[in-house]
Amino acid sequence: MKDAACLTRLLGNPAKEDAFSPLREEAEARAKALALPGARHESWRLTDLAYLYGQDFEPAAPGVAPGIEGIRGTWRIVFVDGRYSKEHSVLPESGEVSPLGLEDPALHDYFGRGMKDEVFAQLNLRNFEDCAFVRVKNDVKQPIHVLFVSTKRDAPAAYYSRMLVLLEDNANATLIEEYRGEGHYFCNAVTEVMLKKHANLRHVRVQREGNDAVHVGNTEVNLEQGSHYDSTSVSLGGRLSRHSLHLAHHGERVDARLDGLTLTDARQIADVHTRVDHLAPNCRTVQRQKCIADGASAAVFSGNIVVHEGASGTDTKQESRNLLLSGRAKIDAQPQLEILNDDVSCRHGATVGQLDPEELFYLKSRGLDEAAARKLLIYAFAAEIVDRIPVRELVESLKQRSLS
Amino acid sequence: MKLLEVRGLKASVGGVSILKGVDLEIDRGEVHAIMGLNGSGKSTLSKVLAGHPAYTVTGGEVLFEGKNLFELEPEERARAGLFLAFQYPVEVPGVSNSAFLRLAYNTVQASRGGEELDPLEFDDLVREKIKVVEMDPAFLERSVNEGFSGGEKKRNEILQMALLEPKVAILDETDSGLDIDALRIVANGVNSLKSADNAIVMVTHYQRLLNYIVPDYVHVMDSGRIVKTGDKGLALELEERGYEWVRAAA
Amino acid sequence: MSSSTLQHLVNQPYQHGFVTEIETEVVPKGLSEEVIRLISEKKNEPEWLLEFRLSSYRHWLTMEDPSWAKVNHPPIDFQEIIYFAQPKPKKELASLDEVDPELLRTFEKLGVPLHEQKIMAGVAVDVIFDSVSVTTTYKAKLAEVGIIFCSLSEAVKDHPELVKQYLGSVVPPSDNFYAALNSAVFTEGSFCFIPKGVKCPMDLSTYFRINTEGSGQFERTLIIAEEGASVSYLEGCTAPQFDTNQLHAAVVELVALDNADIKYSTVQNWYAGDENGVGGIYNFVTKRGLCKGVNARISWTQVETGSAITWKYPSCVLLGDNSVGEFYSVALTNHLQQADTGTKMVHIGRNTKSTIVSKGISAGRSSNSYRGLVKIGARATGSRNYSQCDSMLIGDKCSANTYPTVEVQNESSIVEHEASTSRIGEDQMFLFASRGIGQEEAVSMIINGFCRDVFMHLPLEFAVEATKLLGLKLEGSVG
Repeated sequence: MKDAACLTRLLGNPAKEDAFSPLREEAEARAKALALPGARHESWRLTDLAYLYGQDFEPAAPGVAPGIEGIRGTWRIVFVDGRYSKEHSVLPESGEVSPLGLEDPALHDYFGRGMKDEVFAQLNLRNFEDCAFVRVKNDVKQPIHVLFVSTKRDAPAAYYSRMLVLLEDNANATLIEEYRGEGHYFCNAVTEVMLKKHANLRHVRVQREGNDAVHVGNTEVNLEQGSHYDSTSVSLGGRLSRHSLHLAHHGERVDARLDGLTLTDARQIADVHTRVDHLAPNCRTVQRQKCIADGASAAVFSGNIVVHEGASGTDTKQESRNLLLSGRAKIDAQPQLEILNDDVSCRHGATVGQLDPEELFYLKSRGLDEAAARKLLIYAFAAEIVDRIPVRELVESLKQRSLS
Repeated sequence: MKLLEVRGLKASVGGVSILKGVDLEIDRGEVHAIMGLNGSGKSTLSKVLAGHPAYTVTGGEVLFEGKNLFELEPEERARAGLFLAFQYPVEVPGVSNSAFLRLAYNTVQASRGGEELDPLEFDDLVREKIKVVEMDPAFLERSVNEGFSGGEKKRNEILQMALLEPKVAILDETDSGLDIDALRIVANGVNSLKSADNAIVMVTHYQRLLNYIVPDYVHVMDSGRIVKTGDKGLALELEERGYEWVRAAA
Repeated sequence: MSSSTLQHLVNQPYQHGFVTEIETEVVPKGLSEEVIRLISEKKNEPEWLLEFRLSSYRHWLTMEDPSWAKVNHPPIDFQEIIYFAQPKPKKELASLDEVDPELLRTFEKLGVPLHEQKIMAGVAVDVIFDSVSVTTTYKAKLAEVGIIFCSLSEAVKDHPELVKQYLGSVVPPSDNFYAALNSAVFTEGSFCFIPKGVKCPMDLSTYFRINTEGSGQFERTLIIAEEGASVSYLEGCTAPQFDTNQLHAAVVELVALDNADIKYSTVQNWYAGDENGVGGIYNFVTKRGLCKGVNARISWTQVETGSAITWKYPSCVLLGDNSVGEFYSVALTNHLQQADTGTKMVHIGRNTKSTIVSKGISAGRSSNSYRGLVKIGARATGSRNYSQCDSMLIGDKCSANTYPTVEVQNESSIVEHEASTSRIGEDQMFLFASRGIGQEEAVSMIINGFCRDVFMHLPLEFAVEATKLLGLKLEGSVG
């Protein structure tokens, strides 16, 4: 029972004693009751966790990050191995971005409330050291960059990244959530987002962990009436990664857009699971997920849109477009719809294909060699997602990455 | 007894009052044009007459051949001889146009004591009628209005009019979205269907349709009422002087 | 138009709910090795078949009831089910004239006359009443061209080598819980064998009728088309109205060799329970076709309107290069019916192609799910799949779910999946009304139009029946 042994190990260290202790205790009990996913766990059926279970992760001791390259023109909060790094952070004086303190009232209303049936989220709650806290009352012009970095070390280490994002009524913000690291480690990430009435968040998530990393992220987004959530999630790194994104439209006229891109190569396994619950009338969700798999990698996408009773006037569109570049790679796509209301317009589509030979030929006839032509077409496929990221510098660096 | 009498008609949609007392009389052999700016209520009038469920009649009465029109369901109005050519013809995926037309034709025929046609007989009839609108018979085998261009949809509406032979045909913005050739074809179709026994009501924003189908009466609608009635000269005057002129005069 | 009017229009009373008063011989309810031995003995089966049953039973004991489908039902007590029921034969039958007239009347009433001269022209029928085959028509005529069409029991006696070769070769007993159960207790079914190069001159058909209260039906159908052969097979089913749920756990296996073509059509109208969800058939069926040879083609067309619960995924294993799998389905659920149905297309050979068209119509408080798997294996170079799953909802208390899974391991293959959800729009209804067409006919026409892509794949008689079954008149849109 490798999964059971892994759970025991991840719970092996004593829980931190602080004001969160009661929550940590509950989380530990829930994590034990849930257990880590085994082979028969439906939502993990397509994702082989052997790479996670085959390593002995120690809790990450504080490390020292070398120089950190930020993004110009952003506020920045940095966590090194799960711990807040004042040295690397550039915080606004107006206080919108900070490490979560115990005095923050949002703690009681929004912190750690959901994801009760996600074992990894419960492990995070039990073990996290620090948490980023983004709270916007009106508009923040500068993008907010929340950066989680893992440092290189000799033995495999586990660390927990966490953030809480709260946008008050009518607030506006752009958020960049980013994961980087080196070596063998396990990053367990939890992000909680709450948009109050008519708030507007542009959320960019960039997972570019190291090649040997395990990344398991859980994001939960709760949306109130008239709010607008626009997300772009790019998953590039890690030997094994999984991101579960859950949106709940609680109020009327919520507008959500989810763009996702997964790039896998070599022996990477990357899994994106999303679920959107339409609980109120007249909301909209537009989702576009792209996967590009090369080498002997595996990319999984499972997207479920659930339209509940009473959610009349729902409008959803879901697209899963996949590019399979190698005979050893594998793509699984599960675009799912559950509809309990007749007054809806819901569509989804999925395709798996390869580069268009006509297009390749066209480029080659203009003098490009095979490799360059392929790269260009692959980039064009990815660009539809990446180009929407509103921070130029980030777009450029991702472009470098996907062209290399 | 007039063919259609509208008296003090008031109607609302979604709680918003649109028609605020419309009076109109239409008789056999007449061609009427109802003009007005967007939002004046002219399209609402045509939908209320055809019985669109989204509209609520809040006052007044309409007599169709002396009978209370509002006692009839939309399909009963159609069988009685009231026809609406839609401004935005609805698409019905999967249902073939010819099957739809035949069902409509046979239902209306049955209600009038006429002869119903089997698919072969109907095919002969529809191929004859389709010439009126110069439509490609290939459209008969496609799903109702699905993937039709704007002009094709409008021709399909006039084809239905040709088949159902209504007593009153209301053409709701039939000219919108048509290029000059399509407009001419549609207008020729309507003119060929005009007779001493039926009446045609054109609801339109622009005067140009009236060059092709010449009205006996022109009514101007504004804020849910008919504010001015005249002959075809009124349309030309409107074209020249704009709706503000009527509004000022009213 | 209000959804209650629409609901009314789709609520057609069940036409086949009567019980035939006929003396029936049953094996006492419950399941054990003794019961299996008894069934096998009653059927005079050879030892190898008894062994097949017993080993399936032993495997079944180790398995669990599947829980992944989106259906809910109380646990089934497998000891409360009658596993074998047959109309008591008065004596050995020499001809159809000696069949109990009550039985003949039953099938007349169901629209399945058993006398060849009365039968719809050009369809040979095998008729199964509870656990046994009543008759098979046109047998002699088919035999002239070498086609074997008979009940599975007869095939076991007369063609044991064929049955032994193919039984369980597509759906092994260990495949799933209900397939294992069926393999242990199956009582009857149809057997078709189309020899090399023969195009079956008429449609073959099996009509299934559950009559006895408390009995389960566990039939097993085996169709083999040899090289270059082709056949079109139709399956119909009904059951009386009982307040208890009855289990129907069938297995259908199709084998198509090189260049063979099998078309399998079903109109499933088992009793669905009443408007409060009392009674009805649990229809847990495993259907799978194996395109074993090159250029083989297997096509499933189903119209699912009955059963309290349907759990059914007619599938194709595309082993031969260039083989083709097709699945066309209409599933209508109403009241408290639950349907979890779809298909699996497993591409193994090169240049294999599959098409999936699924239309789900949900009304009342029902739940209608499409579940599908398209798997392109690493060797399946140049393979293609196209899937389209559309749902129509009538009323706001029902649900429509779509759970497709696409797994691709070959970079030269193309898979496309599309799904949409619609309802009968107010604007559409108004268009029909304003052209003089009444609500009932409008709904009928729209639903027919919605299902057209599937109905066009049904043999004509079945298309007619399917259309009627959906509570519609044929007027217009089909054909």
